Amino acid sequence: MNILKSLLEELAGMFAGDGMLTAGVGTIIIAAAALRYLTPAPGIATGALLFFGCALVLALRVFAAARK
Amino acid sequence: MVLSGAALVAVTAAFLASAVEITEAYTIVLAVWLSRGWRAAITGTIAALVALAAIVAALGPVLDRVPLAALQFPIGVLVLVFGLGWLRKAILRASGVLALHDEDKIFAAEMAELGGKGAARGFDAAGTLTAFQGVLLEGLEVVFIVIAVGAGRGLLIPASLGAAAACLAVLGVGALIHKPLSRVPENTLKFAVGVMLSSFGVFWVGEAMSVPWPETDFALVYIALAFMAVSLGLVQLLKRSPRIASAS
Repeated sequence: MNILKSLLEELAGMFAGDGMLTAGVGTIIIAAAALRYLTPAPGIATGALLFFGCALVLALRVFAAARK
Repeated sequence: MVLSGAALVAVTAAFLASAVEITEAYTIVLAVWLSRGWRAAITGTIAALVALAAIVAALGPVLDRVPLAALQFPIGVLVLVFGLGWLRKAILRASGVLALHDEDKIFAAEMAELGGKGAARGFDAAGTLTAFQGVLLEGLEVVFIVIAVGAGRGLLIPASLGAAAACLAVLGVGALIHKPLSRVPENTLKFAVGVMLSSFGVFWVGEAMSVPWPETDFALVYIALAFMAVSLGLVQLLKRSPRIASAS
């Protein structure tokens, strides 16, 4: 039972160790999909949003952890 | 065989990430070996490897049946979240906000914990379970990383070879020195892997959305360089932050 619990905790930790980071990445992906499929913006703008959005989320989560 | 740019990045990412995970598993198994005896260490390790093989055998045929295009988005999202998580932790460690991963300290803690569990008569459940759990948990991450860097572009075999090479390298060095591998630059490896996995994630999510990456084959490289620049910049910013400088 303990092994199963550890296994599930490990799996959860792999993807949601920092819940805000996961939520931020999810938001960026949704925004990128909206830009790609709901607007006439060129496809490369979606790529740029994905990269710069993720870099911004990373920076925000790093600074939030450092402030703690 | 000439490796394409993507295959080279997949092999390197799988090798480095697996080296980190296998080093951690090796520390646990070594602690079991030295504190509880070789039988518990080997039994637990073999049982975990059998469990991992069963997981891979179950997942393999499923992945084979799913078209690559359908895999790219879910795997891209997972690898992006996983990679950015590693990168975040590596940046915090490199800048001194978090303490560096210390294999010697972890080894000593494992030895103390296992030594306190008392001697076993016959089958050593405590030692076997500790080795089993350590190898299974770290091995699962290796399996995920291999799938993550390999499945989205049909590169499972090169990625598996990268992981196998890491396994041989770590266990070979471990067998020679029989001590925790505290000189493995764990955070540097984690930093590099975080950069690579995050780049894979952005690239694949973009591909799934039909983003026309300029110089398609070279895209992974320039996305990785951009992530590297951002991450190194963040480390420098944190190091210069007066609060963090005074704390370290």
